[in-house]
Amino acid sequence: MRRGFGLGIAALAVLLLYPIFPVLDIGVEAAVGVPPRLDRQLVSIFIFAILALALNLQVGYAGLLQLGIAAFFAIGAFTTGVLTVEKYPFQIGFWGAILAAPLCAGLAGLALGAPTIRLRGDYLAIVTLGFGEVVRVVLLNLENITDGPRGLNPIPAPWLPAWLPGADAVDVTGRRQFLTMYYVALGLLALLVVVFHTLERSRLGRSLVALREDELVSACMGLSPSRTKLVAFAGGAAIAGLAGALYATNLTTTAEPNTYDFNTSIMVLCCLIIGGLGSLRGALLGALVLVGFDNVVSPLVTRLIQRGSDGSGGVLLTFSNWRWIIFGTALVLMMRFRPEGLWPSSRLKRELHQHE
Amino acid sequence: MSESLLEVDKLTMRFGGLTAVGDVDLRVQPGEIFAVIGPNGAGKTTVFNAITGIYEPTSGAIRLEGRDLRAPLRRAHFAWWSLTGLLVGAFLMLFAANVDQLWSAVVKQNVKQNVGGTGFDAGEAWRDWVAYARAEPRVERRTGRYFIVSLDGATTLGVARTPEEAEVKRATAARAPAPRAASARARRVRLVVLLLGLALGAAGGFAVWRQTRRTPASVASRGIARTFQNIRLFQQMSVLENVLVGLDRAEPGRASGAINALAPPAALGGGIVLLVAALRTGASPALAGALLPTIVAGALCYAAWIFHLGAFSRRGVTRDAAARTSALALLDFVGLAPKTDALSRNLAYGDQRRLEIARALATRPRLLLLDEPAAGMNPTETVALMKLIRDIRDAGTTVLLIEHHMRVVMGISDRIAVLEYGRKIAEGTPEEIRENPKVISAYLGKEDMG
Amino acid sequence: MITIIQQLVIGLTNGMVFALIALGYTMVYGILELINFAHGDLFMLASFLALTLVGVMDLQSAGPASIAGALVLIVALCAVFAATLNWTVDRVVYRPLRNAPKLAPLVSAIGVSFVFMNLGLFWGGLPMDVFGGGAAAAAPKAFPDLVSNENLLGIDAALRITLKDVVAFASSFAVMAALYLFVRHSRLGKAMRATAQNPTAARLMGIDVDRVVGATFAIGGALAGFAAVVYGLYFNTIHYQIGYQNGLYAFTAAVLGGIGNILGAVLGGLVIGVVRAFSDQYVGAQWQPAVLFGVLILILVFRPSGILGANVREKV
Repeated sequence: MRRGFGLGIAALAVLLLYPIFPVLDIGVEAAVGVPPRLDRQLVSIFIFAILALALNLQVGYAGLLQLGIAAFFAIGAFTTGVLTVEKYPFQIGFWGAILAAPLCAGLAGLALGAPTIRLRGDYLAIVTLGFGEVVRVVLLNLENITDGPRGLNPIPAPWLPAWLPGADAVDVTGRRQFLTMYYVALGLLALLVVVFHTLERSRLGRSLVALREDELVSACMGLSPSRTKLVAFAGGAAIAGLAGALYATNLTTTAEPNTYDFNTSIMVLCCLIIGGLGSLRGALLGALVLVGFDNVVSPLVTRLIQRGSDGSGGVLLTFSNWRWIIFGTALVLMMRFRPEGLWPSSRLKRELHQHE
Repeated sequence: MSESLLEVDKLTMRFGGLTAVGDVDLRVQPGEIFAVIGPNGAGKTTVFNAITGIYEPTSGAIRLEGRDLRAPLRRAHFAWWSLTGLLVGAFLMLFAANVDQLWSAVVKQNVKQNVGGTGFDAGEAWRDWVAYARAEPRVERRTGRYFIVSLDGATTLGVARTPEEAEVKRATAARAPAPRAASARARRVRLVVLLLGLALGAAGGFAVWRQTRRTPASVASRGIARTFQNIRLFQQMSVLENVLVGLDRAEPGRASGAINALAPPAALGGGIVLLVAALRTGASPALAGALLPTIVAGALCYAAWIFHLGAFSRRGVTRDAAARTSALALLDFVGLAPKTDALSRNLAYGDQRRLEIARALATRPRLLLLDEPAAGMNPTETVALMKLIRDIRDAGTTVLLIEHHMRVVMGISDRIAVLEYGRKIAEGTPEEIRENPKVISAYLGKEDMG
Repeated sequence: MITIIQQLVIGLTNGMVFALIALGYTMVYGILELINFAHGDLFMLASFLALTLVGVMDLQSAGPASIAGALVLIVALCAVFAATLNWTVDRVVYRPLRNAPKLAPLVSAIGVSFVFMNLGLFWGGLPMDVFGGGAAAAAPKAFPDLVSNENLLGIDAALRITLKDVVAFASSFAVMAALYLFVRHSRLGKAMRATAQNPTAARLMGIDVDRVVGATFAIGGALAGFAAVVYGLYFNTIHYQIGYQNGLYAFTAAVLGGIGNILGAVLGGLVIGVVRAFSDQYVGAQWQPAVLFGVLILILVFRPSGILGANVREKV
């Protein structure tokens, strides 16, 4: 506990300072010749880490197999889009959007959860999977609202109050905008980490663990499983919506609805499983490993492989085409040899090894 | 006869063709220890499961203090079902009326026509919305002129130069036979969809209510707690945590009571105020800078709410300190005080049974159901258990138990019911049961009565 | 009226294909309580094998008799391929996880599914004519129209039923009937049902549970292999993501009917097929997934265990 706390503070300090002293960038640039712009990738990692925390609440803590988290991510992103783009009259700006997006996503979670939350685990899995498809299809089809495959853009950057130093200077390089995004994402992630850390030791956290361990007995203790599940479901959806708002703002577009498909949901689930289901630190590590692999390692390797070839590539030579084989194999191997993940919580570790 | 605490009336449970329990009547008086005995497979645990809401009885009634354990039908339920129906209906109607087109007519059209002009006119949008909702022709402004367009926006029914003229022309167009027929048709479709959604939503609400009229959780919150024949502890939790889970519903705590009531409306209210404020200022940094404190306050409201959901436990906050004290008292009562921080699955068998009892007691039940509490216990542990059960009764909790161990049953029970093949064959005091020839031939003849 | 009957015909025929895939899901679930996510992608790989064989045998230009013969051979090869692959995956991936918590095999299945999908992508990149010479690995591949598409009721008839419809429906029906009889009456079938009800008791009765589970995977795989050929012939397009799409529909069908229930899977497949056909006709093809899952949620609200599913009571 003490050690974890110190580690957390240290990590936070490094991340706070990183955009100012991009140590790794300088190192990699010296070695490969191109700066990987790790600070930009870090924003994606923060956003996916928030998404992973949302899913962790549902799958890790409550044991609800949710396979459609991308739907809530998308709802958050498109809520932000509709409420902030210039062509619609709302234009509530980033700060309004990061309140509205979780609200909408949470309500959607409630609307889906209320009729289905009593279903057995596998049935719930298929319903959430289906919901993910439905949201994607609806977003694609409501072309007048969402601009269909083009997505809504441009989404304005977060504004800063005038009294903040440098807030009214002209931002030619986009540096200030980037830094705002970086620190907002980092701040929200840190806030959520603290919230979940508290949650794990709280009454709600206990009823979540009780629910996961033995639903019937927790019901016989008077803790309504439906209510606990619904809280986890709607809460997770809301946080995923928040991640969506950040994602869209960071990209300055909602991107096309197909960005939020089943593969995205599974990718987030992969983050959890690789890091350790139900483990706060594991979710963070998982997001770091997976998004880092996708956005940093994979392009670098592709560049290295194709450096020797004539550039026509071919399906086998593009490293990112191997992505799903690598992820898939990793999942299989993890389940076989380290089901508790790379950095599990102690409670989950016990649970997964109790049969041995 | 005084008012019974628990009344089981003609309880019948059938699984497929098998009648596990048939027409069983039980009356448990407040403050007594009531035992149900019978050979293996006589249906004792099935009775327990029916009482605690795990099984839905095929027929028969179960009442606690004269009130049925099934949630009664209230007027509020009808309101809820109607509300669900309305929501589903409205949602379906939105799609039937083509939400995409609606958006185009009400929002996009009105933004586009004002580009470089006066800005979005909410009044115009509202008039378009009303026209669309009534499936009537509406006014679109393009290049300074007013076009009267049909519901789907495909046909132009007229052109006007001023808004007043447009309104007059619109009214005339709405009365023309063809648009009128189209409106009527569209409205009919919407009405049908609304009614369909209403019916589906209400029926769904009713179905969910019926399936959840009596759940283990609702029974537990009425004041019935139980233990399980095959011990079911939360194995990964410590002994203390197990009891705390039991306490969680029973003791909301003083501090959280107020926060519980205040936090959600505060968070919601803060959110709404914020949204309205943000809507009014638009994206203008100058105005919004002034609003930053409000935004921070709103964010804090949310944060406070989330924190309240997961409020600090272990050390610190009052309510959990209180819960911890109660939990320790309960553990002391069952004799597990020295093992508070052990993992529950590492406990000895007898200790696990007592922890289950402590966890059940933590819900502050009026009636405690014990399913074979002495199974697997050695003689010393059994004697301690008998004392514990008596203590529980003396502390004011009525006990209903299933037990095979005759020394325990005869030693502590005030009254005993005997089941065989799912039917009650006898009921009475231990002495009466001991001498009942039916019981002896069915069951007790094979066993030493101790 | 004709439109309704026509949509019913289309729906039932499509539904049969979904039912074939759904059977693979439901049989494995019935025994292991495992959602075999990789099943849809297994089906996809089998369809790529079928197309490869069509290309190798150069069937586009062959006569009807040799096409019929070749199709039987293709069906057999695809069934054997899918059965072997499914059995191997069970042996290598799922069997070591038999005693692990339920989530472990499920996550493994998702992993296997992604490996399969990726293999399908590479397979589509083969430099063969039927794959467009490997130009775009991810592009949809045309599956040649090997069975006659002419209307059996005459060229001008209002209702359209083709030989293709009849072949797809009849062959699927025959396979399902055979499966039903097999599960009901054969020794292995009885062992399967016994294992599904209670693996421990089955083991105590001398049933080799591992063998039964392996056989279940093989049979489910063979059904998927057969379905893949029917799918290719019927829909004429395959690509590396059909496994996900159709697997999702098929799994929905299995859940709708009551997962673990063989007749339920067939019924669910038919319901899905018919709902799909009607929603394409009356709501619009682009809303298909939305309508399907709306129906699924609706049915599960009223019957939480599916149409034919029994209410499972937990043993206490």
